[in-house]
Amino acid sequence: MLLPVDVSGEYTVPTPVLDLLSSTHVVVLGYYPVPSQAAPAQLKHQHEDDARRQLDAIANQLSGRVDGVTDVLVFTHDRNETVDRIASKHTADAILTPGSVSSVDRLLVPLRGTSNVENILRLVESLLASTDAAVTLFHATDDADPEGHGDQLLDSAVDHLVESGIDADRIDRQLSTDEAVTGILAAGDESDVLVIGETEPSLRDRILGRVPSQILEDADGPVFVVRDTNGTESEKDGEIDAQ
Amino acid sequence: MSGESSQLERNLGFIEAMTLGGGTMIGAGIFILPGLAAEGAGPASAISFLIAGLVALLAALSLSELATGMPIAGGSYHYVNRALGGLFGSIVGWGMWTGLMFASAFYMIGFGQYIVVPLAFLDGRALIVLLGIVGLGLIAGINYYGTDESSGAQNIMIGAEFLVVLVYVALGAFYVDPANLQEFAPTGPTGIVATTGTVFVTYLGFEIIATVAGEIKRPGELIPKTMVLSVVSVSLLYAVIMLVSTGVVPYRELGKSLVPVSDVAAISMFGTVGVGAVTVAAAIAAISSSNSSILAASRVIFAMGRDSLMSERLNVTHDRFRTPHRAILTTAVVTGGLILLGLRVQEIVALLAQVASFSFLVTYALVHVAVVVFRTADPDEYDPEFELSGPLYPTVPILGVVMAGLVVSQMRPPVIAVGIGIVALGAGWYVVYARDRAVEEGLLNDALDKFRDDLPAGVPGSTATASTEDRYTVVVPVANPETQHGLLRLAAASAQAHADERRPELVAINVVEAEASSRRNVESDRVDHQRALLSNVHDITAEIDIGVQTRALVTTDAGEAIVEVATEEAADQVLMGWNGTLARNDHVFGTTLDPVLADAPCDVSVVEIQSETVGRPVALAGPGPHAPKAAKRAVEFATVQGTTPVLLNVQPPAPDGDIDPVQRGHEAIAWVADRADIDRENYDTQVIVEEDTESAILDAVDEFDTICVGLSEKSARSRILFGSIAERISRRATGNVAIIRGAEGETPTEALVRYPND
Repeated sequence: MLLPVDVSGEYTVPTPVLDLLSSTHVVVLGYYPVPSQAAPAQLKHQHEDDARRQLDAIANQLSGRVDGVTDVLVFTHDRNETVDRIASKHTADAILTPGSVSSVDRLLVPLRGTSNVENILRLVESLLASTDAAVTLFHATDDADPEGHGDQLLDSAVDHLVESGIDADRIDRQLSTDEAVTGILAAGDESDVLVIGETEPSLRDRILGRVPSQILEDADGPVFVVRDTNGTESEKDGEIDAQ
Repeated sequence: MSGESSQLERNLGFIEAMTLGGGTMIGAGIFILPGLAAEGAGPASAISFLIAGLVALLAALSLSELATGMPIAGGSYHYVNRALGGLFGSIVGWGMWTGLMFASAFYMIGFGQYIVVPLAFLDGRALIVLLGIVGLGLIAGINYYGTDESSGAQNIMIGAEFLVVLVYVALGAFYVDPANLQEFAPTGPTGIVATTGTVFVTYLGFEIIATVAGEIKRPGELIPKTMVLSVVSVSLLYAVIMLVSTGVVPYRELGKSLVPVSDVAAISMFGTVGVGAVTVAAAIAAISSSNSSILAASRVIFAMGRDSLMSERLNVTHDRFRTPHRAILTTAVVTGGLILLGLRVQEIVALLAQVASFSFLVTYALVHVAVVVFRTADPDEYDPEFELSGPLYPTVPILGVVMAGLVVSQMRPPVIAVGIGIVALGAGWYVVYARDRAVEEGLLNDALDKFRDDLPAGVPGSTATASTEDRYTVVVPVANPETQHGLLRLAAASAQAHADERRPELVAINVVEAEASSRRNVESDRVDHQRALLSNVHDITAEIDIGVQTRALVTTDAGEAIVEVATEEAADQVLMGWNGTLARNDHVFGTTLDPVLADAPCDVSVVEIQSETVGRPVALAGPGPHAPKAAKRAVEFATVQGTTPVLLNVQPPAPDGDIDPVQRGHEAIAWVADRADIDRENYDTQVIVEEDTESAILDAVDEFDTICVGLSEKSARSRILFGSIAERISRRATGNVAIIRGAEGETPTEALVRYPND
């Protein structure tokens, strides 16, 4: 689990989120945003101690509550690039944007298709195991979906969770015909935590923003973006410049 | 839990680097320079661009080698400062900064010209200057608030601008009138070379790639690729543009125009539509080029601050925007002043371009020298991925210096005067402000030493080793900021004690242990260490008058590197810190200390610094091969606080009828002092008679602040064995503990044989 945190300011992880993470190993990525006007070394030079202190505070908050903490401090021009690089370096299964939340009663899990579903459900299992929260499995279809693909997808997901020991009472399913982002956000109003799958950005996504990042911007609560580890991982740009 | 230290992300890929470098180069210059160039050399100014391109290519090759060897912020400034020291660092730093400001002012005046001239209802020089100032204000404002790398807006704008340029060339080619090119080189060869000095300003774009080298992904691959590619492609593009422009509009008319590209576009690109497109493209070009210059300028100022050549107050970043706002504002204000000069100076545009060119030509000439210095001195950490190989070295640096000199020699006297003024500013700044603060000593002396070593014996100047005989040199590897002050103080005392016969000298070294690879910004580490090292050394030298050299090394094996430095410097002693713990397993003191104790060709003192007070030292004048050296060190360390050291000897009670143990103890001490060549008035003695000698020693040394113990050495062949008594002392003592090993040659076995007690 990768938890990216902006260490240029103060931050504390909400307690309910800590409960969700109790059985996971967390990599805390403290990133310090650097504008293009300055060299990252310049901000490191002036703010390394502060940044380190913020990161240590968060790591201390987590240690003991979760199953192991690793911390990484990076000065970067581009948060997303750093998040991607650190996630693949530490083979994180998901990236958590903690947001703010007072209690976790329900998870919302939109499923796009069969790809990446296993990883998503594995994470959902572990999150449900550590709390009493319920889960809503969600699928948005473009049209009427006469062949019932959406139904089948949700059915097999429910089966999967039940098989792995989650009480069927805790699982809801919802089929929506709204456009994906608005549908997810509408359904999200009733839930506290969002678990979504990472998508390979299409050209259109690259220009207009990916679905997950749009959701990330609009969602208030914690969002887990599950990485697609089956896909090809490009290591080429994963240049590390460790200090 | 918290493991590695912080990382610096490299965010700039191929596209970003090309946008910064190539974008700046094809940017503003393309719209303004054709007029100046046509005026200077007619259609043959295409050749001027090719010559300038060659000079730039040579510089780009040398810079590529340096930048891949040390991918760090600051570009040419950093490499020259590192190679040639603070004076040249200051000259190049100021040269680059002012060069970027002159270039920026040049772009912004061009910006004003392109907006004012085509619009019939606007007119006048004042308006051009005003628009330039407004544009600059806009750029400064944006940079003050900070921008995000990830915004694609700039890429799209530069893409659009580039498209306009391509259309301009493609359409213009159809309108070329060969008659216009008949008079190809109206000003002859000198005119062509002189014009090179004007147009060279456009080539400083690739330098911008070098100034952000610390942020470029896969620097070993991308830096050379983007620099060379941008220089070559831009040179060819400019040459074609000059032929097209002077082919469409006769060079005499073109030369008089403030907006040459618009004039050509009015003919070849459907009149008003073309002029409109060119005006928009020129505005974008000016803004993006000026913007890149400001980004580069703040990197240069940061790099100078890092080496203490510039006030760190200028480098403070904004609390909220995190931008180096003071550096940006200063750059903008001076640039604004230069733009305002346009009100008074008729030929301001050409002047700005030529002065900027001058600054960068001087910079590149020094960059070529820096390559040669790096190659000759060959520091451990210098392992560039891109190397000038085969016929390129030393051809490229030599030709680079010659070409830069040739171009400068054809510049107009006022330009040369201003240029020399800027060089003098850098030199003056060094003398007045920076000399006492500068961090880098430069590799020039190393390089000269190596060069002399390579000369055959007998040649004058090849006697480099002679001078080491007159020095008493102590090498002090420092790493821990808490103890380095203590170590340096003891080392200084030890060296000073030899001041009567030889000149005392300290060599403070800091070893950064690292695998040299593109994955680490090793150079940035090295600079940080060098800086910390130097500030500590300054503290020491403030107390004691002693010659100090500092060296920060990057290497994979610290122990070996220390032995190497000790050998190179013909050191008399290595004095280094120890944390008081012994390694188990294969090592005694640890992976760094063991090789030094085993292989250093001189005395070695391993000191556990536990107290600020050196006080009254005690040395164990017992059996053991290194006891005399321990006594010697105790005498030297005593000078720190002007005390008299104690030589301690513990004897077991004598069996009946034997010699008096107290007398035997005094004899032993006298023997040790004699061996160490210490005068009787320089030490006190203490003899303890006790059955259990070990615990007696432990009790006795408790009251001393500094304890010197000889290393016990069982046999020359086996690895060093740390004597049990010394180990127990170091565990128990709260003061400073020094373990002393004498140099090889003073053979321990001989000492043992002659020791009266054994």
